[in-house]
Amino acid sequence: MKRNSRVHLHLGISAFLFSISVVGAALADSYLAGSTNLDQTIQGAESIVHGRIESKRSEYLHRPDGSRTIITRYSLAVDETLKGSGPANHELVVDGGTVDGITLKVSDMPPLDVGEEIVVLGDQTAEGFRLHRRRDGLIRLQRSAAQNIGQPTTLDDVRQRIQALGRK
Amino acid sequence: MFKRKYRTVYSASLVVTALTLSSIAFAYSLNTARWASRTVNYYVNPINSDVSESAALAAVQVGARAWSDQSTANIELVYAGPTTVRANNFDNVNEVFFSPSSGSGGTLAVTYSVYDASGNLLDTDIEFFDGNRLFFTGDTGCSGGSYIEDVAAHEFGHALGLNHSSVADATMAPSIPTCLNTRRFLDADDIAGIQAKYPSPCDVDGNGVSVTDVQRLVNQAIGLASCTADINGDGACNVIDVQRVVNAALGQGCNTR
Repeated sequence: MKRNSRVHLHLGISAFLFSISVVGAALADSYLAGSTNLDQTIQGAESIVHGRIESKRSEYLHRPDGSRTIITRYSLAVDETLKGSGPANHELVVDGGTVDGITLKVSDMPPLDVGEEIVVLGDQTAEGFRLHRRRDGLIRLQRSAAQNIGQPTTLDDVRQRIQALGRK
Repeated sequence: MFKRKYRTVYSASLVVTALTLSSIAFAYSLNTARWASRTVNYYVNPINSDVSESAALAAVQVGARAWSDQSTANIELVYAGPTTVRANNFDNVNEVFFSPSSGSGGTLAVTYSVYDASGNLLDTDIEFFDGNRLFFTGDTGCSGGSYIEDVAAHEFGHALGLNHSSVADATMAPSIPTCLNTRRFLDADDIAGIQAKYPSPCDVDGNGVSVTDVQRLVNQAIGLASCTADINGDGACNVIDVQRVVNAALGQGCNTR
């Protein structure tokens, strides 16, 4: 009986420890985001600006080939131009948005919020000022480090990278 | 018979484990959009710079089939033919294509999903960024790139209305290591997600089709429980419905006719 009791105790403790280890594994945020190369994005982007989204407006974009998509034009209150001349009309164009109840969701580009503070690394295109290398060209400063995997989370970090690249 | 303290330890461990497993089961994330019909047709432009067109087409189909072959979800992606498009287009046609774009630093592919105010999906296009990515097919020979099968399985998950999952090994995890060839096989989290999104009529208890659904339907057929699962719509829960659920539990699909 005593031996049985010890076995049960060991089994119980083992089961408890196992359950705790499973909890730990479940809570560990171990997955990796796609790798981004900020230096390449900084060097490749025509302009880099820091600012805040003042408003947004979605519309259909009709291409010359007859195809269409939905884009959102984000109006930026630019606080600082870190590289280049900045976007014409202080406007950033991003795929996705909602027009007349029809929504386009793009899997690598979550919608931005009015009032959000961002750094945009972008290029002037025929369609407007767009992110350089898609999602890589967007730094959301109010996001946590976990949400900003592979990207800096402060404006000072971005400034230092730009300055360091300028010295090379 | 266990003594009280051992029972307490067992009970605590079981509760913690159950809570943990339940949280794992709900790690998937669903967006508001879903297809209204069971069958979703898609077209493929297999022209790319890395593999033969036939290999690319076959690999895309492997990724698409994962969701219906490996779950009991009431949804099926069906290859409907070739297309020539190489850009996303809201034309109510679901298209998969390889673009010359290089995308962003870590992005292999992206899904464009269009849906109406009721959440009904109208159009989904999948773009593989072929500009500076290396794509392979099959499950050997990859070097410094990605298998189309695995990337396609992930993107079709988006096309069906799934967001990224926080389960590291799930098909819907937000990233994939180079040359990994296991994401074409759905994780339990992916299966739970797609079955929650598109529950099978044979999934009587909402936990995926299993022997418990058969038992529930038997109870309904013999009058021990009220009829809630009239699978074939003939106005009654009977042996025909039980047979449908048995077949579904055996992996033969849920025939609703």
